[in-house]
Amino acid sequence: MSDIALGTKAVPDIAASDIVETVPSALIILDRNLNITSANRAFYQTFRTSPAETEGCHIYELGNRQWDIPALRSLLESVIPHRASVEGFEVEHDFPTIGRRIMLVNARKIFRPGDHDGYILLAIEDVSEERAARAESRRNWQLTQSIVDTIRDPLVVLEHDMTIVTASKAFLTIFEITEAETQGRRVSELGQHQWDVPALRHLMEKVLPENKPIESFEIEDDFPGLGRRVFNLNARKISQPGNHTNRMLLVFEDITDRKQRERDAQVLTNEISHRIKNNLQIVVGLIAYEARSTAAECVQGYKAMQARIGAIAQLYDLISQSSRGRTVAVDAYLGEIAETMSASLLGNTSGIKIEVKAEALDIDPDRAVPFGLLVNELATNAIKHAFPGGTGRVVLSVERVGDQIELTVADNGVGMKDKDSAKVPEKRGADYVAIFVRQLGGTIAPPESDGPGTTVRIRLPLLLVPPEGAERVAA
Amino acid sequence: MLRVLIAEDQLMIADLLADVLTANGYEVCGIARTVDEAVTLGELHQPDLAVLDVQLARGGRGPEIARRLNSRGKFGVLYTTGEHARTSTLTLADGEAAIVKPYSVEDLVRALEIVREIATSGTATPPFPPGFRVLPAPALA
Repeated sequence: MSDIALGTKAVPDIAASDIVETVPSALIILDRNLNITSANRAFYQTFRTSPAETEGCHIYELGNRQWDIPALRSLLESVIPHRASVEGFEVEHDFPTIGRRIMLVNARKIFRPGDHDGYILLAIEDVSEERAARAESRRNWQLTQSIVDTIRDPLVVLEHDMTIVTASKAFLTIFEITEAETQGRRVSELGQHQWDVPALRHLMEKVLPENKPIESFEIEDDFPGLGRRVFNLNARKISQPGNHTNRMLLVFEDITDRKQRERDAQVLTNEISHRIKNNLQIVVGLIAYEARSTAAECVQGYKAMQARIGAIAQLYDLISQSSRGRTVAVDAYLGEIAETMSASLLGNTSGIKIEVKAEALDIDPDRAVPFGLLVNELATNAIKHAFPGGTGRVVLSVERVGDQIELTVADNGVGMKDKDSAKVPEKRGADYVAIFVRQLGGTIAPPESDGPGTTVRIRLPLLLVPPEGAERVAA
Repeated sequence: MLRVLIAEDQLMIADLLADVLTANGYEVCGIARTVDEAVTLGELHQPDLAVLDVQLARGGRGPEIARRLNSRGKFGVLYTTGEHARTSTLTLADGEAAIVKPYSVEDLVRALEIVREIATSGTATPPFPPGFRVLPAPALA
């Protein structure tokens, strides 16, 4: 390149060639006969050739005539002679040395003072990879679009400003809207503004900046042509590799039918519950009939019987409150038992408090009834006998100890010594406790009553906990 | 003697109720198994109190009876129900109180006394029997 003189300016010659050498684009200079007068380092590197093979060579002869390309010929022979410069001329060619390439060629005629023929400077940029990436990106987008269109759930892709970039075919069909009506508009502006819900807008604003997906946001409304529907909205951030713009995918899942099934199941549950309660009521009624014609000393027993049947009915409710899956959450269940006992046995004004300290553990519904009856029996006993003064505390706790569950019912009352006179009902109660513990496959530690109060500890096998993977649903 | 209307589709339970209420000094002025029967009996006898099962025969519901007889200000209503308090939709617009099944007869008698108290004086005096609750004010629409 040193033969391109820069005239007599103060800038030294070396500057021009240095610049040319450091430019990342491949540069070559041709004379008017299209012979190469020089090329830069980028050219030699890109096309794997050397100055010796290149300089003085006719461009078409270079490298086994691999530059004898019709597109380049048309540039050099038809376009250049009539124009001072050409930019972005695209040449796609299969080069024997470097394979198929797409080249972007910029050409400029340069004249030296007193020389009217001039030279041609060609800057050649290899855009193969960029073009491939762009084509790949286009294919990806087309693929995305076709996936979007095949998904049955309606979905939209949103721009950073919440305007719609694309809406799937399902979206357009279900909400009876045209593509043109969606583009550039916000979801909240669509239709009858069914999606214009502040809570949803608030969540959507967090999806992109905080990368916080929306999971199952429920909207129930009347939709023209659809009637009353329930939709579950899910949104997440999507990013294209190599592209810094983030977009949001918003999916509308129609859960109307599922919701209806849930409601039907609830109705059925209520119906079954109603029947069970009615049957228990009949049993309680039968006992009441018998009690009336029974000797006075036996009436207490009949009453205790009624109370226990009542407890079973309550547990039935509590179990359905504490579970929705295949297990019952013990912590929630104990809480419900304590709450119910407080309400029914104690009333709001009582000085006796029932507390629950429970680990998050599960038991299967089959064992929830004997477990609940056991807790009921122990706690009732404490409430009835531990607090002659009418104030105190009963703590129900459950914790995992090795491969067992430890159930503890502790009170801070008067302790055992004061009530060992073996009254019949307590004796019966103790029998029930033993039965429930056996039913659950556990063991009962002797009541501790060293200090104030009484503590009953019961070890139950961890078998109560269903196998891993069972669905746990808290109350 | 206070007159009580009973709506209960399980005759076994209805009979027990009637028996117990009579023994406790009430006059049972009718036992209905459906909403229509209860409304007819209610209009005829103008009761002071009603013990209404929430879920009646043929899909009928107790609150419907109270609504059709325009119970508010006229007679006190105690619901008997298998529904858990948390899932129940009953409010003070439907009646005064509810007691869950299965209830013991003593508790029902006590519950009805409280309903009478609320209906006449607007207040209820604890202690309340197990499974009994005063119905909450309806949520503002």
